[in-house]
Amino acid sequence: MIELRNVSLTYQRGPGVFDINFKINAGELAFLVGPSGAGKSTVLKLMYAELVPQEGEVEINGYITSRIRRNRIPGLRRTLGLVFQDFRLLPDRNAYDNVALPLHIMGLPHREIRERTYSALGDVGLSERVHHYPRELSGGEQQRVAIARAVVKNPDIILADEPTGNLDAATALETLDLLTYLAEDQGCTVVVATHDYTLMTKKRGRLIEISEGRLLD
Amino acid sequence: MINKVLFLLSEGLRSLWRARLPALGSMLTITLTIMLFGGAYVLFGNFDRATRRLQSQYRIDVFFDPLLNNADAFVHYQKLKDIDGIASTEFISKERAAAIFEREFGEDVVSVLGTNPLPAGAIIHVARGYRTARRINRIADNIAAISNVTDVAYRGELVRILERYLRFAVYGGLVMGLLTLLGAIFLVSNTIRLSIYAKRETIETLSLLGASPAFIRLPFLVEGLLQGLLGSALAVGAILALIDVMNYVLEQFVLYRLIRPPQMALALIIFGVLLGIVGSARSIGKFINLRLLENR
Repeated sequence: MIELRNVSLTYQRGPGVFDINFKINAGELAFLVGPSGAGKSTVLKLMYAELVPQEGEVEINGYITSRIRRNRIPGLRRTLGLVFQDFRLLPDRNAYDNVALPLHIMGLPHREIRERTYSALGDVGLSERVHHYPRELSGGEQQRVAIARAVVKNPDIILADEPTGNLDAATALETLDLLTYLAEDQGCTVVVATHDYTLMTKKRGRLIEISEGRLLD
Repeated sequence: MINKVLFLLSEGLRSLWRARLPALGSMLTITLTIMLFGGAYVLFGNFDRATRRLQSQYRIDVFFDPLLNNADAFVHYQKLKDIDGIASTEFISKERAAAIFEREFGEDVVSVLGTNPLPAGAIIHVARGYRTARRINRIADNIAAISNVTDVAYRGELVRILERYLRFAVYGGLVMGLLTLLGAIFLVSNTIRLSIYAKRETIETLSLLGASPAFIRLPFLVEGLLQGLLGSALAVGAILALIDVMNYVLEQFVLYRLIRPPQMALALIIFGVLLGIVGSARSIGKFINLRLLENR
């Protein structure tokens, strides 16, 4: 469950988000939509405690980020799966090592890491590309590796920031299918921030619209 | 837990390999630093041994007024025993002095001159705790103050010169070692900083994936530790090789071999490892803390 209560944050160099209120229930697929600069990424960053609200509260997976102690932030993030527009894959590691990374962070046994990593890569259709480095993969494949990295730790919540921003229309739809599958079939709470309004017309999900840092009714 | 540690160690190795050129630079600086400290250590150990050898043979020769007969000289000789720092004394009568003269110079002074002009005297052995140039000088001064002592001979000057050179060599080595130590810390720290900078996106990603600060920092610490370990191992190898070469040269000229101070290799390697850790910890503390993780 994710809940933002009267959340406001102003950046030093410009506007931020103002009086944001919404609640996303467990297993829900939600699209946070708005034009570039509307505050979508800010809202996501508030969720994974990259930013702390100046006013109000963000509650996620039982953590309240404005009250959370600094040393517990890694613990919060380990319960989340994060997907980014620029994939954020480590360029010097192959697909397997990238996906296995969160499991190493969790300190799981070697055998479990191997099984879960191969399984996650299989789920996103990359069983044949396990040993390829990011530079050897297409944009769509890189994003699928990033999604595999997000789901490999069986997170309760997946936060995706413009996950289709760097992809062509067909690949974008494939990626969206994957995220929808995670919400509908795996029971994950999935929040997708996107500026692409056409995308969500193809999928059934809740719409949260934001513009100039404020939610639209 | 073991898996995690092994993973972090391999990350450290990977990181060292990626930044191998700057790492080589800081490793060689550590080698130079350890060699300077190690050199001073070896010099100190050997000079100390050499001066102790000289000091253990140390004695003071005392000569009384040649006009005193043996009995009168013996009265003054008794006063020597009251002086602090004397382990043992031996009275040298006029006759024994003549015998020593004959043994050393091959001439019987009594048959040449018809009389024995040699003074009675004494040989003083200095107590163990007083075998430094300063203390021996003080004993010699006290002996010279006894009436009818006309001469006090000892090899204090040699000990003094040796001590001075020893001090000079050790202090010089330490000063140079300290300067390169600062350089080494700076270079290791800079190498790690470059490594951190090159991996800033990786660090951010790790942080977003839920890695704890310790998980992020440890590979860099391992990287510094390995630089210290490799650098100091190289230095220890070089020092041992230099000792062998110098011993080979010394053997041609003198009956003296340089010794390896006990535990030297271990002490220097521990020192090198600490140097690497301090250097990397400096950058990790400064750079990761302030620039990358405090983005909240």
